[in-house]
Amino acid sequence: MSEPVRSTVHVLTGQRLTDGVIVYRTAEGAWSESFWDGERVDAPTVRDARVAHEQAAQRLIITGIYALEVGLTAQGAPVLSMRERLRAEGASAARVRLGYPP
Amino acid sequence: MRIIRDRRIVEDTFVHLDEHAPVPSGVGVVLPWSRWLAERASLADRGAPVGVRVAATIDLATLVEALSSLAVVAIEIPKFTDGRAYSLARRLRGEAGFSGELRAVGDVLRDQLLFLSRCGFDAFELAPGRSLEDALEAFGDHERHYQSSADRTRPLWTRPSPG
Amino acid sequence: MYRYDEADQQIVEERARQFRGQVERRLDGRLSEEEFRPLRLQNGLYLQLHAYMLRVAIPYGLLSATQLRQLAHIARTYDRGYGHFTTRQNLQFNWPTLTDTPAILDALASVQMHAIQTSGNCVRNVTSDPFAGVAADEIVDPRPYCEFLRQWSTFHPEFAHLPRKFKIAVTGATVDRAAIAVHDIGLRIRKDEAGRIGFEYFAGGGQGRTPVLAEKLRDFLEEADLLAYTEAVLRIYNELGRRDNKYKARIKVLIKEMGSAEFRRRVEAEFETTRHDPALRLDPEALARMKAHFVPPDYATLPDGQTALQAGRLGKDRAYARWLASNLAPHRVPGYAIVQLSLKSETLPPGDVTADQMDAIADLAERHGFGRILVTHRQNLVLPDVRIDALRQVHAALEGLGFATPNVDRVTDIIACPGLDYCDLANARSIPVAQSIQQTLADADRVHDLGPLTLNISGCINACGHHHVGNIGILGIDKQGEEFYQLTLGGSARDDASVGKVLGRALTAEEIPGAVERILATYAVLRSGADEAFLAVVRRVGLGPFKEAVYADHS
Ligand code: SF4
Repeated sequence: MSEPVRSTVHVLTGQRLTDGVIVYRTAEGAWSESFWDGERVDAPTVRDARVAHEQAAQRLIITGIYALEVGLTAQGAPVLSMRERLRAEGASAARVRLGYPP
Repeated sequence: MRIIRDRRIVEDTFVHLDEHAPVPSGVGVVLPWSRWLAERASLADRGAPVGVRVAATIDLATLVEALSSLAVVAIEIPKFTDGRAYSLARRLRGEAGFSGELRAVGDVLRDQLLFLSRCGFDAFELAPGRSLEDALEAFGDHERHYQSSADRTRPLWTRPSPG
Repeated sequence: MYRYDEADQQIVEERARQFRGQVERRLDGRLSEEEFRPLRLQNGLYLQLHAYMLRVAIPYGLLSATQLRQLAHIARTYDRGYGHFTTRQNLQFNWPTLTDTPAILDALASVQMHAIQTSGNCVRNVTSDPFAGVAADEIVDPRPYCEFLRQWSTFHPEFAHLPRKFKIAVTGATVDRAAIAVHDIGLRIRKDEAGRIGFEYFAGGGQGRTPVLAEKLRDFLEEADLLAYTEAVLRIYNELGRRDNKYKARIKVLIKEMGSAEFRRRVEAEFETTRHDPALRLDPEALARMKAHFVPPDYATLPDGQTALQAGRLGKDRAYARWLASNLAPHRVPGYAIVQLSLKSETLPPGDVTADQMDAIADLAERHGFGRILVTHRQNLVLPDVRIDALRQVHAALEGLGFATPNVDRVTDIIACPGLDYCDLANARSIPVAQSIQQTLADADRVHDLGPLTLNISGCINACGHHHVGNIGILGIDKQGEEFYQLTLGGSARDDASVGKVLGRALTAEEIPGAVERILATYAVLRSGADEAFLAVVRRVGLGPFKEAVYADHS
C-alpha cells in the first residue's frame, strides 16, 4: 500500500465533447491533457464555485466536469484512486497495457 | 402562446386555468383534473370547449368516463425520459376511442415529438425557450416505421415480398 | 439471413441522418448534454473512461462476411484497428470520436447495419442461440422470431423511454445456449403434439445488483401472438415499472413486488386487447415470408464424417485432437460441423479482434461455409458451416490467426467485461485478471482435463461479464479507491440456471490466480470421476471445501 495521505486537494477534470479525451484545468484556466498540468485547488468553496462556473462556461467544449480528489503524502506526492490513476495514465497507456500499440 | 397542432405552429386558442382563477366565458379552457372533478357540473353547460390537465399516472377508468365531455386532454410529461404518457395516449386513442385533442405538456422536446405523435398526441406545448420551428423538423426524421401505433400505419412485415 | 429491402434500408439511412442532426445540435448548443445523453445512448454511443464507445448491433449474433469486412474497415478508418465482441453478441468500438460517429453510421447502413437501441432504456438488441439455424439439437429456428422482435421493437414509439433497459433472448434448441432465464423476457420455442409452434414465455429474469431467474408467464403462447403478447408485457412494464430508483426499475423488481400471479393477470388482461389488433397478429403469410429469409443454404450431400472425427480425436496430433473435442459442435447436416473460434488467448483481451483478423475470418467464412459468422454470448465467434473434410485446413488457418486455442467452454474460455480499462462505471479492471488467470493455466492438457467450466468476470455489479452465472464468478469491487475481487461459485446460465454464491472475503488482483488454482485443485480431488463436472461437484459438496482451500492459510 502507498504512503499515508496527509491532506487532500482537488483538480478539475472533464472530457472533451468532440472526442472524449480527458482534460485537466490549469492555473491559467486552459485545459491540458496532462494530469500534472492541473491546478490543485485547496478551498472547497473555491473548488465548488469553479466547477459550477466551468460547467456553464465550457458547456459546448468539455463535458462531465468535476473536481477529482488528490490525496497528498507528507512529501507532497499525489495519491489517486485506481480510477483516477488509470485516467491520468491516459488512453495510450491503457492500450499498451492491454497489448496494443499506442 | 404558440403551440404545435397537427404539425403546424398555431396560436393556442385555450385559456389555461389554475385551481382558483375565474372561468372566463365564451372561450375554451383547460383546467387541472382535480378542479374539473369538483366543478364538472357547472362546466358542462357553459357552451365552450373544456379540457383537463392530467398526470400520466391518472386512473384510466375515471378519465375514460369523462372523455365524452372533454375537448382536450393535456398529459403532463414531468421529464422527457418518463415514458408513461406514451402508453396513456395509446390507450386513449385505442380502446377509449378519444378523438379530441391530445396535448403533450411539460418537458416536451423536439426529439420526442415524432414518437409522441405516433402514439396519438396531436398537440404540443414545448418546454420553455424551445424553438417551435426547429421542433417541426422532428416529424420528418423518419418516414417509414416497422410497427404500427396509434397512427395505424401498416406494419412493414405485412408488405408483400418484392419479387 | 434477413436481407433489407428499400424500406429497411431507408430506416437505417434516416437514422444516420437523424443522428447527424442531433450531433450538430449538441455541438451548437441547441441540445444540452443532459438532453443529448439519452439520444446518443439510444444509438449505442457512450462516453467511457478514456473516450467515446460505439456499440454496433449484431441482431441475434448473425453477421455476413461483407458486414465483418465493413467492421474491419471502420476499425481501421475511425477507430484504432480493433473491435470488441460483447456478451450480448454485439461489437464495440472503443475509440471513435463524437464527430466521426455519423460517418460510421453511414458506413454501417451501407451494409445493412446500425447501432439502434444498443443502449438506453429501451428494448435492446435481441439475442439468441449462437448456433441458431445449424445446431443438431434445434427444434425450431429462432431467427425469424428474433427478426420479428427486432422489427417490432426498432423505434417502437411507445417503448423508447422505459423505466430501464429491456433485454429479450430466444432459443429454439433443446439445450439453452441463450441464457433465457436471466433476461427480461426469455422465450423457448416449442412444438405441441399437433406440431404447432409456440413459445414457453418467461419474464423478469436478470443479472445486475439483484440477480433473479425469470418466472414463467405462459407454457405455450401461439406463434401468431408473439408480438401481441410482448406488447402487452411491455405496456404493463412501461406504466407500472418503478421510476423512482434506477436500481429497482427493471421488470424483475416489478414482478417481485407485484407478485407474478398479479403481473400475469394484468398482462393477460392487456393481451385480451392486443391479440385482436391485426397490426400485431402474425398472419401465416407474414410468418412464411419471414421464414423464407432463413431457409438453409445449399449444403452438399456428404457422408457423415464421424469416422474421420473419431480418428482425429484419437490421433497423435494432440493440439488438433483437443481442438476437435472442445471447439466443435454437432451440425444438423451430415458431413458438416460448427466450429467455434476461441477469442480467449494470452495475446488479446477476451473478445477483442483486430481489423486484419476480421478480414481473415470473413475470408474463411466464405471459403469454408456460406459467408456467415456468428457471435456467441461467451464472446467467441462461430463458423457455422464447415465441412468435416476441411477441418484440418480450417484448424491450421485458425492456428495462424491465434483463434484455435482448444478451450471453448473450459476454464480459460473466460468472459470478461471491459472493466476499468475502458468502462466509466467500473469498480475494478477485468481484463488483467482474465489475463493473469490465463497465464497460470497455460497447460492445455490440464485445462482440457478439468472439463467444462465457465469462469466469468465483471468489473462492477452491473454484471456485463455475467459473473453471477459463471461456475466461477469474479466481481470487481472498490474499497477506498483500490481494486478488490469477490469470488462466487455455483452459477450457471444453462437450463439448470442458478446464481453463484459468495465464497468469502474479497481478494486482491494478485491473490486471484492463486485462489482459482486452489479451487480447481480442490475440484480435481473431489470429483468422483472424469465426467463429474465442476458445477456438479459444487452442487454436491457445497462451498465448504472450496472456502477452506482458498482462505485456510490466509485468515
Ligand atoms: S460490468 Fe460494470 S465494469 Fe463491466 S462493462 Fe458492465 S458496467 Fe462496465
